[in-house]
Amino acid sequence: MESHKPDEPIIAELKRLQANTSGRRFWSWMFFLVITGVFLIAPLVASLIGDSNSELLQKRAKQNLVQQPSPTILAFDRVWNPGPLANAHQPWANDCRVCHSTGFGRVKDADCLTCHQTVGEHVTPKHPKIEGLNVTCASCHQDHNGAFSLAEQNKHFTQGNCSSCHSDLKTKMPETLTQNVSDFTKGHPTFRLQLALDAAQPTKLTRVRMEEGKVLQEPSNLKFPHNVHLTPEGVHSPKGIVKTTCASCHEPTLDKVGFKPVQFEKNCQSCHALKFEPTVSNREVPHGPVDAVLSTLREFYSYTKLNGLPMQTQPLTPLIQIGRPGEREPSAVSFTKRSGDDRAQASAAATELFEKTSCAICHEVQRVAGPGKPGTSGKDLPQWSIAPTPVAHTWMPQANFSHAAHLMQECSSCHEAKSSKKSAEVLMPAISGCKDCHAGTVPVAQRVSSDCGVCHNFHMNPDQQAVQKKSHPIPKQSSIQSSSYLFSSIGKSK
Amino acid sequence: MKENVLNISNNLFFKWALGLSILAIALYIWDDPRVAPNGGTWLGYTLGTIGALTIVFLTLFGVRKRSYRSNLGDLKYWLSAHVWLGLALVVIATLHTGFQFGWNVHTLAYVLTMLVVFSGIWGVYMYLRFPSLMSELLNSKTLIQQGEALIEIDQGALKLLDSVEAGAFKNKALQLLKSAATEPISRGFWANLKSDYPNSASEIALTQFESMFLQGEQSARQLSQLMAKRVGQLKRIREFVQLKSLAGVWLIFHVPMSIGLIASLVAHIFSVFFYW
Repeated sequence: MESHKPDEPIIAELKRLQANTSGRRFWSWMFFLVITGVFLIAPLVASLIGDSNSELLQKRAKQNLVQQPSPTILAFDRVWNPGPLANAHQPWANDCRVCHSTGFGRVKDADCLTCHQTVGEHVTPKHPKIEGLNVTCASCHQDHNGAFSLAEQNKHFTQGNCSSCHSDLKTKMPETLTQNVSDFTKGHPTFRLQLALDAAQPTKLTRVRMEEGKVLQEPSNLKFPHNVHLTPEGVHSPKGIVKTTCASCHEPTLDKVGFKPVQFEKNCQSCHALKFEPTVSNREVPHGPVDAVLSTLREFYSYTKLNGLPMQTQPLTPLIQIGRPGEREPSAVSFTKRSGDDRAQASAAATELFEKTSCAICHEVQRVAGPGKPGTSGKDLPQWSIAPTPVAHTWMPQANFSHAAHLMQECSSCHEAKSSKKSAEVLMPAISGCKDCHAGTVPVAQRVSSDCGVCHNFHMNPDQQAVQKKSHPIPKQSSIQSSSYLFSSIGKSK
Repeated sequence: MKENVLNISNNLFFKWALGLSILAIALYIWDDPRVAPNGGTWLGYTLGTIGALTIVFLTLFGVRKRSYRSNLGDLKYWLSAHVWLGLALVVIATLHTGFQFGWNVHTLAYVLTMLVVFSGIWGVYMYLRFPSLMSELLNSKTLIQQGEALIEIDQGALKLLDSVEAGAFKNKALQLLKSAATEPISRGFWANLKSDYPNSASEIALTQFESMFLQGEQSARQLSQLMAKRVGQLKRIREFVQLKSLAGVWLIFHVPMSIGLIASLVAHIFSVFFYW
């Protein structure tokens, strides 16, 4: 082989090419410094400088929450945000310290409660801390997991957590009124309803537990047999035979969670007309206070005494009904034909109306001593009192139940109204009826798997909590939801 | 089957990686987290811890590789573990994310992990394939010796031209030989990777000499034979350079990217516990 010059260009070039590619060290440093700077140092420094959590919130309170720029320098710590916040928290997406008030610690309850001041406790404030119930807000509510609400996210993941205490609650809290519960199918007590046991004190509600096979009674001072109104043959009305259904009287609220109050004028009067003079078919007394009814009668018969019948004694319809619907042969003798003055005629009409044909059909009516309400034209007539009917209220105000979710069912598949003879009967279905469709957490074929969160809330209604504080859980009227109004305040008259 | 980095010790590390991956997948399927699978559930923390420790171990390979005097395990076992656990990391890290991704440091750490691992797969391919290709190209010689062979061809050609009588052909031939001999082997970083050299002076010289021979220039015959040899030799060297460059570029990618990964991992872990 021939020798070559040591600086032969080809050899020199090959020696260069043979050397290891340089740049590893340089690029390693570059990556290290840039990433550490942008993703560690900058966010950390930015989060340490600036307002404290409480100062931030005070400033936020004064300014437009959404348009407020981030409190940290250039929102450097946004690169630490691990995922989308719940919608309601998104205005603070760049304000990490609004919730994370201190470094190296989980989000504290105090940080949550700064805004969520009215959230209900889980147990009575008498027992704010239950041994074994070491939960914080963050134990259940974990943000940065998507835009859906934090309350929603927990609803269906509660079973195990609940039963860890509630399966043996009596041991942990001997004074509790709540029974042990382990699972809806196997270990759930019967429902406990809040009832007004004294119709004279409709706002005094007592919780009564249902018993299997026994219908609870809640005095209503109303005579309303559901069975009579739900016969398959229909009922006799002024317009002939009418088949009334549940929906004839129970109209759902707009959200279809519950029902609108039943109103006499809307739901009853078309059959139960408040007519009083057999020969005049188009006059009715108001469904109102006793004095208003009596005054109407007093004024009517005074007028007819002076002027004769306003309709020239010609009835509008051949058959005038002043009896109950279904009574096809009512007395048809005009009170104007009776002997005596106009007051005597009005008295006779009132007695017939209150005690026989109208009021007493539904109400508890009692003759009382006069005179009537001063200043009213009916004060010199005989007087009656109508027993007050309780305002409708929910039986289970804390339960999450929506009729909308059960629209595919017939009313009668849960409520035994067709055989109910008294309005006092509480037509709340028994828990065994629920179990026809609902199973507990463990899936069962052809059953809806339902854990605690399907019906129960973790946080007590703050109103409920306020009464719990005193003694027994009786909600204030304001807390009564529309969910199962059955009757409006008809018959408020005294 | 021949023992190599992948199947060393009866597939020992493959089995470990496979077992780890299957365990992680099974736990992921079995686990029913309260809200949504994410890095903050018990399984999330577990997989995150395993993943972080794995990354530390994989990085230690770089340290072990440079400690020539270390007796801490044979390097080939280290490499085998490095490869297989690196692949298992794809499963562990992906499940750790709970498939939650975003424009943040957490996803950055994940993306860097995946870039490092997938570049590692390319690296394994090169590690297994290139050494034999490269030694084939060198053919029991050094790269310098292969260069010397090139010089030998050039000198032989010049010598051959000495015996040719002066004239237009000799001038032209001298010019062609000179431009071929001075043609640089490399045309820079990117050309090295592609090994694509259009208008190579050696190839031009070859075709010129061939056509001169066909036109009746007898002396061009031997010169074209030498140039054909030169083109072949140059190709051999350039292919070698290509393989060497690809391997070098891979390290420029794999190593700094893993350093970046370490940095982002530290930031990721710090941030999730800072804003816990």
